[in-house]
Amino acid sequence: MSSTKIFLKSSDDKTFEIDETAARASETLKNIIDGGCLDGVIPLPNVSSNILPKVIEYCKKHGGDNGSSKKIANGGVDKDKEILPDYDEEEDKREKVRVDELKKWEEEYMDFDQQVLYDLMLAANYLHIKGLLDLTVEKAASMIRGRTPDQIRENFNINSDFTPEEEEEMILIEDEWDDEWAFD
Amino acid sequence: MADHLKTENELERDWANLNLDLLIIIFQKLDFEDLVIGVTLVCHSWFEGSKNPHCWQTLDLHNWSRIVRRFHPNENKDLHLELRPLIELAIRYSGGSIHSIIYPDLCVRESDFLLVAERCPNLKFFYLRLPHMISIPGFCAAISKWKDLEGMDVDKYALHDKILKQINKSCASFTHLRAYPKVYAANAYDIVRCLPKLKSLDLSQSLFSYDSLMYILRGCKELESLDISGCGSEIGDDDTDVHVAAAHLKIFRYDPGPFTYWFCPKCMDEDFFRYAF
Repeated sequence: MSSTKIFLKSSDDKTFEIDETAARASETLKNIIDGGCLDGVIPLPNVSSNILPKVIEYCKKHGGDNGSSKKIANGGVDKDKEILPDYDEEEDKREKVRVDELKKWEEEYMDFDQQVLYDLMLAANYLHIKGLLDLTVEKAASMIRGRTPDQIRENFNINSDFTPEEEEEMILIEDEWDDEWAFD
Repeated sequence: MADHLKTENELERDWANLNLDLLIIIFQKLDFEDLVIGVTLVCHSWFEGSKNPHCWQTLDLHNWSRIVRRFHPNENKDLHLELRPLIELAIRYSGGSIHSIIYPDLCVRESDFLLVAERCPNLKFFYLRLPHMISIPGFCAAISKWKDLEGMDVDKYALHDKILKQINKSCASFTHLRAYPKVYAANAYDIVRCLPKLKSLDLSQSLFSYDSLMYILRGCKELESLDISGCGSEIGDDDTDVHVAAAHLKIFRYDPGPFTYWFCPKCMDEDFFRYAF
């Protein structure tokens, strides 16, 4: 099945091609397409050519399969009560394989450093691609969980802008946990 | 030109000044302890971002030993941490907008319960498994403050007649109840009498009679989800009376066993939220 092609122009004036069905993974693009304001090329002044192919890769994988991803999300609900008249074991197996394959794809797709993460998160936010935003936000959160402030700064390349006095104060607060908040 | 672009690119990836909306979405994914001793100490702008009440709506203290270890990373001896300062801290950060609180499985003092009632009037859900240090009047006083309370996951101690009556009186939106362990038939009658508008009721791992089951099914007409699994009930698929009475349920779990400890709110699946909220 062939699909209408859409052209996207990055902030640095490079043009990329994407199928309409894939582009619909983005709410922003979907609205532009449905709004009928499509005038050849859609300019994306907030997305650079470094990251746009990565965004397109995600859309290609997820565009047009909204129906079945919903099915995955609700899988297993009402298990005890649900009556499935045309329950198809083969279909169930295929679905499982598909989900596993998608998970593996996501793992590989999300393997990048904090700079790409930053760009991709902003692009997903700007283009309203919910699934991609969730993935990037979750990755950022996982780079914070269980870590000390120093480790977090290192992960995100942030410099501490606390003054030495403030740093001192924080150490004092930490001491307070030992002295006051704890008891023997 | 290339250098100029590069600098600009690096400026763009300034995580310290990431757009506040995104920063808050990330912080919302984090646990209390990661916010308190991680995020707030990274830099000024993250500290400011973390003050947004949306980051603090769920105060999950269930994994208490992990939290204690986080607060004392360099010590190995037996560690203790007071609950109250942590709750105070979370309330301060949240500006009192906490929606759900999951107390650790420690004996919670009445004052620690009333503190949340006083300062977080918008509470929708609480989880409390060791409430035995809270008096019945204290419990009722807290409930009376929570007009928006939608559900609770409690020890059956909290199924006291007076507490249930207080819920009936004060909490118009109360629809979700999970009680544990070993809820008896008498509790079931009180539940139906005081909370006939329940939508979700989870009494799994209880001791349950056929009669009390029928009483609940006939009494709580708005019930959508009922879990009496692990109650040793021997309901078969051919038990017509039960299934007719349960026809209005969307979810009905009645598998008799085995007896299992229920969940840890952090490693659970989404099921918990479907039940709890």
